[in-house]
Amino acid sequence: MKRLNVLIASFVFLMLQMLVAPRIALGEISPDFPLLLVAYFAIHQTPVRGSISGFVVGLIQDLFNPQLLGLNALTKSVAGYAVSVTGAKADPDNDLFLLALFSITALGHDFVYLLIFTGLDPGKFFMLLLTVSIPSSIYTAVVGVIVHRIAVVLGTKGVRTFGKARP
Amino acid sequence: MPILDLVLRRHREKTTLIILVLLSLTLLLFPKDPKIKFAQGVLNAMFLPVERVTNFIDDFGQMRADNRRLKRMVASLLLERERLTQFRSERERLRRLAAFKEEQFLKLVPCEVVGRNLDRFQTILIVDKGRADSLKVRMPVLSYQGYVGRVVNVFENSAWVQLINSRNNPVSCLDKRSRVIGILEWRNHSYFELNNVSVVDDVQLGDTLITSGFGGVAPKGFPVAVVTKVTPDIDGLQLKVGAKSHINFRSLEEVFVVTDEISWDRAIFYDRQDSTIIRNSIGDRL
Repeated sequence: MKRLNVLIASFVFLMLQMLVAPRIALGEISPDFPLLLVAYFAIHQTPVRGSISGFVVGLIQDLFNPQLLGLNALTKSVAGYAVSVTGAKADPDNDLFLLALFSITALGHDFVYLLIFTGLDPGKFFMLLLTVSIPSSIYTAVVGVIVHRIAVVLGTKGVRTFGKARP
Repeated sequence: MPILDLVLRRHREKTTLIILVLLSLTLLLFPKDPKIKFAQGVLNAMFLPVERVTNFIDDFGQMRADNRRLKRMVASLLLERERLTQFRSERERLRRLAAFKEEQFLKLVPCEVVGRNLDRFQTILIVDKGRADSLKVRMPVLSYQGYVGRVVNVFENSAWVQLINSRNNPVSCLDKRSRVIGILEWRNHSYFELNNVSVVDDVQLGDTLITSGFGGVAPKGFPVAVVTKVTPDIDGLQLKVGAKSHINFRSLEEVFVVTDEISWDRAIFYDRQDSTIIRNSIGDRL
């Protein structure tokens, strides 16, 4: 049942990225729902599961841009690992903590992504980091906390019972 | 054995991460073609049906309002077109007299956008027409408002279109007013930069940039952006020209792929055929 929840939630988050993210985007600034999916999953899980989930979600995302197949898988594996390690040391139900965690994760994710995407061109890298990544990280974090709150209010198992599997 | 124990048990988490990172880097370094074929197969199976259903639901609400608006637009455009047809005939006669090369009429294949990539740094659309509809790689793609990109991959019943608001997809453009030529490159949002413009060239705010037809991809004369900023570059030899596109690349739902060029005579035949169909469909509105 828990695996089914994970599958449904994964599908929902990918659909959110395909259908909702372009509609709520402020220019180039849009939330990264697949990253939120990885973060929600990883926060209650072991680093092994966190990084594997990041890899799988990133790989699915890469299918839409196969010229760079592996780039999202790489960045999201690292993000999943980092969130899982951090989640073990703090209260994952605190909104402020989540806001900070999601922002830093999104920013770290984009930092690694842009390093490879721009081919280490400092001009392009900093321009994209400042104009797209930093505002998008904040947007992603805010949306992440809102989704988390909605899930808590609705008592939905889909998002929250990803986890509690940490040994 | 102690090494295996150390790697697989004591540092299991770090080992997993390192394996995944190495796997990702291997995928990144893999040749492009097999990656694209693999991705296309998976996407067709997983996401295209979903995207089609959601697009249909989205479109349904808009259909009635669009229909009314488009009928009005067709009526006025048809009148304008009749007038332009006369100008066109006159222009063709004059061009023949001046022994200019005969111009061609573009053959467009309308395509529905059925998907887009999830990447925030470049935009690729998936359209519902492919090799079966004569689409080929490098064919130019237009929207109602102008040139939007080119076909980068073609499959049997779908194709990928790389939009101009992507890195590494510059377009050769010319200033519609002064005919100054430059290379238009995307910067961010809807903003572009026209490069290779000398400081003595005449480019002014509000000038429309159209495709130059050079480079063999984009056909000549389609609007791309409007000049919003003109300042001398740091070296003092070139102009820094900023431009903004009025096309909302995120909400493109239909695009047109230019598959061929046909002579004006055949185009006139199509005009007449279209006109009859339109006249019949809008009835007494004219």
